Amino acid sequence: MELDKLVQCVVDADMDNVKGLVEEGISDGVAPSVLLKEGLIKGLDIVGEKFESGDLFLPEMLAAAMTMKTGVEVLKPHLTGEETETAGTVVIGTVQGDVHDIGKNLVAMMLEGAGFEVIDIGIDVPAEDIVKAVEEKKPQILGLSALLTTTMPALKTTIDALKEAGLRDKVKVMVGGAPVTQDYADEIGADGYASDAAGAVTLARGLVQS
Amino acid sequence: MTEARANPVLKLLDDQKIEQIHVASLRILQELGIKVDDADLRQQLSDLGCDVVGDRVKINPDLVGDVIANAKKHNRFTLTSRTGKKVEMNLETVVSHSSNAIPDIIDFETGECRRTNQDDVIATTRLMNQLDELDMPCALVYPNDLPAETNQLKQAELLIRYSTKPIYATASDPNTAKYLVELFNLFDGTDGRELIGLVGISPESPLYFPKAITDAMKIIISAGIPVSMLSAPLGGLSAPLSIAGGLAQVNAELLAFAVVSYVFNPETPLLYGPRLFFANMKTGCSILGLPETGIASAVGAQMALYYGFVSDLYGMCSTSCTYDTQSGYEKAINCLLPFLSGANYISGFGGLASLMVASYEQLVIDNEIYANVRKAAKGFAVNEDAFGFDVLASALKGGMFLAHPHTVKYLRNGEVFVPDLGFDSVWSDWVKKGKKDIQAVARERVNELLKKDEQESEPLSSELDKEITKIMENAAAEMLK
Amino acid sequence: MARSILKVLTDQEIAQLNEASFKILRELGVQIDDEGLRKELAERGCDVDGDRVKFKADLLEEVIANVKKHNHVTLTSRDGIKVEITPHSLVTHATGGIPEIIDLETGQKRKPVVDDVIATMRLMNQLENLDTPCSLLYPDDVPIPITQVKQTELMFRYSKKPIYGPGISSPGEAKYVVKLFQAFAGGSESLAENPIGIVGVSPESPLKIPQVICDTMKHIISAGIPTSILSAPVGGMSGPLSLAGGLAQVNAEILAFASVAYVINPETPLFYGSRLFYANMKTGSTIMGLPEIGLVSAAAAQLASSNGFLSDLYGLCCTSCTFDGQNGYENAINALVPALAGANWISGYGSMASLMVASYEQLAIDDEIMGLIKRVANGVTVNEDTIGLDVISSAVNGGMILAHPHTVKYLRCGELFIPKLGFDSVWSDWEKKGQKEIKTLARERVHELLKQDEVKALPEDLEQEVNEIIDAAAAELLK
Repeated sequence: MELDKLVQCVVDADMDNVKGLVEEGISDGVAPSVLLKEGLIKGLDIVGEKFESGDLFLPEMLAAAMTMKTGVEVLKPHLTGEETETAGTVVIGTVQGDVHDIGKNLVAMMLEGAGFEVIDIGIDVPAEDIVKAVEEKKPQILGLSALLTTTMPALKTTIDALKEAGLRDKVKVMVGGAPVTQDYADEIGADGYASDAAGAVTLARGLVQS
Repeated sequence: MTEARANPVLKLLDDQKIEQIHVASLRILQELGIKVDDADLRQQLSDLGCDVVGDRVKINPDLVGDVIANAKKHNRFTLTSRTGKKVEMNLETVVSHSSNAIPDIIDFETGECRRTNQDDVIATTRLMNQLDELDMPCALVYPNDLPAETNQLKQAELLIRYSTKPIYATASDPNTAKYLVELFNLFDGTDGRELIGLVGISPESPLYFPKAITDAMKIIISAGIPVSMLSAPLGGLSAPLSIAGGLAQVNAELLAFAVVSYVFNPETPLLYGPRLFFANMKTGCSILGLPETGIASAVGAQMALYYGFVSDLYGMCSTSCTYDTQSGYEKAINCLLPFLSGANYISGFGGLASLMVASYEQLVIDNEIYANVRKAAKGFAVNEDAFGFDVLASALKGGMFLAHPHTVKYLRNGEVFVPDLGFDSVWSDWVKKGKKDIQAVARERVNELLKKDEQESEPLSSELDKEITKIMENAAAEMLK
Repeated sequence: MARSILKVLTDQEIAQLNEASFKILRELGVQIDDEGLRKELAERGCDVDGDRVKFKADLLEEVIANVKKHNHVTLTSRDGIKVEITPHSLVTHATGGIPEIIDLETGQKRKPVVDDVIATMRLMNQLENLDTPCSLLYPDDVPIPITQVKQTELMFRYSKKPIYGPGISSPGEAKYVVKLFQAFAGGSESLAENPIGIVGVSPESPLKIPQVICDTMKHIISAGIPTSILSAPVGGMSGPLSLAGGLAQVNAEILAFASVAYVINPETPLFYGSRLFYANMKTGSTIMGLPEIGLVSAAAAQLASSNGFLSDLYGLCCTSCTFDGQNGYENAINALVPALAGANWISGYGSMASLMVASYEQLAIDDEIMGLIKRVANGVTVNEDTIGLDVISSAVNGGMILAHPHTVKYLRCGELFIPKLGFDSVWSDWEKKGQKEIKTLARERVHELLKQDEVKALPEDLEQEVNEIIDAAAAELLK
């Protein structure tokens, strides 16, 4: 089993072959942590660099991340607890009234690609359900999205509900969506705002460290 | 300005390709169908011969054919404003409207971007009263200071109170729809219908009709208020990235909308509103200044004509966040393409930054861009008189073109565009006049026009005022718990 | 795909216009100052009435038939860059001979010098949507009698692309321009069959070819240098104000010029260079941003095509004197309308203030505008694959369109325009990046591109030959 093949498989977003290559590595006796770090993660790092430099489009980055995720699923049972440690846990959803999930899905995929554990609570989620999810899952980060001007006020409602439940200082809240701005994020007391999915990953990394 | 138009002249696609998109859309409707949340509606569609599989309704082509044939009979109507201004809507006219519910605005005094409020809705509506190229306002900005639940309704109320033109409202839930009908009915004359405006309603992409939307549709469409069907997927995210694929999906969504409307009230006029747009595919952020916005709108106009629908399209869209050359070329290209292709209803007045930031100055600049586009799309007379053989003959004998009656006649008839806002002289004159860019000229114009509107404004009759207030109070009582 | 997807005029209206032009040529005729040419035209059936030549349909039909034989021109630069101009192409060129420029450093307007001509030529080498540069500027530090020769020399020296030569209006200079074309083409090759560039020659409006132009034509057309016939009346001043009237006159002037060229050398390729424009009719100043420019250019593209010509038309042009919204919409409208109507070659790169002021930044901005316009002209491809039913089907079943291979495929093949200069993100990002307007981005780009452009020295023998031509021109013309 050549690790380069696995790296290239992620770079090429070759979804059809990733599972077989990881299995081949395991049966060839390659250490699972090596398959993870020097295979899958290395591949995604290469893609990440190309994406940062503007050589790749978002769908290409995303397809590579999905390929890596598939590989990790195969690998997971073979990894120790330490090896499966994530960059952090994120609960993510769109606020009440908003059924637009593309942006949210995109951020979720990109966060997963960056090593976060993402718990997707779906669309059109009432504030009380979001509070409940934060209570139960205890994430470091809560990601909220609103696409429409009409649903944007629900971002504030949700943050206010977290305050009322006494959970506001237990979780960092990041917000996004086309009509949302940094000023608005500040105004409603969010911890961060990003204008696009790649920015959301950078933001999440920063929020976890702070 | 409403004007009778000659035959559309731009065909990005030939008739056969238009037909091919139509066939693809029929397949989408028949094989994939639409997701309909309302079980009763699914049953009604099933009664009309559709296959219902779970929450999906697969629509048979014959029904679509009947619906299209019926829609053609209702593609001509007149809107009348509170003050009596009329806008004719049919396949031969081109009508303009503004963008809607933009969340931020460039403050007219400070030049800083800030959240919009109720006062901005009022001021921009009054400014739009005075723009001679703008036929119908939407609430250009979103009143952030008002509750979300009744926001669309308040937008319509403010338009009714302050606009002297027919209005373009929106509804995305049944409560809003219910009170919107009440507001519209205040202007329903006794001898025949007087429509103060129309309502835009959007399903979700791909191919999804949530219950709130079909409930809103039922109320508005049953009331006979003309509805603009707005299908707005983002290519590459909620529709195929390829323009043809995006259009096939949009067309399927609009035809499905028409089918659902047909169930509620086959008499209600429908507008065909393909609003396919695209993103910066490196960040995923939608940007509206791409030329593909205009290309998709142009083909959308062709599709509408193919069916006999009045079309309602994106027009002056821009990604630019400032009053620079980019804002100008993006808006011009994206407006000109659908205009030349036979669009009937064109949007985009007042928006910058991919419709996320509004501007007073931009409203006035867009008025000028629209005038230019309209002139470029108007064509010109080709006949013996226009050839001006005699003028030429007299010039060759030493006469002057400039002083010839033929020249004066054509000048007076508007053969050559006369800019109203744009600079129309030479560099030295530009320097003499203070090196103003068009934004500076627009600022001055905004002040003038707002003053003028104040002088011309007529207060609502106290009776009407009372009725509107009452409807809004009832709405608030029901919707704001 | 077919290029002419916009029809400003119906086929019948085009036929009517052609008929009107034939009538003008038949009944009013054209003043041709050269006696020898009048005689030759008389021999080919024209009526000569004093200094006016009245054309008959037979000769015009013959000329048109000949034009059709030469409507596929490939220009090849010294560096081997080829530009094909055919009835289906849309290529671009810069404006020529602008008398002033906005200084790149100070932002102030001033007279341009030879160094500006060189710098703008080098910048144009790097603009990907600009196919053929022209000497954008009229250098103020070159003696007037040899300016056209000097412009030609500078273009050939610094351009990596085939050139759109200057407008030639003096026979004295025409002679040396021909020598430069021959020197840079490598001597003996036929300039008509294997051209390295073209020049423009203008008759006078209304309906006149003065002696100097006749003599200029004899040099240029005999040498086989492809020529754009630039007929440029101002509607209401040197042509009728009505658009149809102006077009009928332009069409007549171009057909007359083509007939004269036919008599001189029928092998020389000709371009239909309608340059009809208008004025602010309250002041009489010509202004180039009016939408009528685009409209008549579009009609001219249709007229040109109806007579078998390749068209060369106004494109990007504006009245605006600054980088504002007006600059954008005027340039866009006037370039897009003819481009959609099937124009083959459109002009205007680098100009502002009704072609009276040039700008480095505008050159870069115009390249971006032309990128959008070329994208639009490419239209929409409709077939099974682009319609992508599978993609919609997978989305309906919960798949992600964004990660679908179909999405990547169409992104990679250019389905979406990707701005190279224009802002392509959202407000917050714009603020983060310093709230730059496109002019600021263009300035930065100009500096980058100028750094990128490498100037190669001419081969020694060519250098010597060119210097000898310039010296000879100076000796003869600067007496």
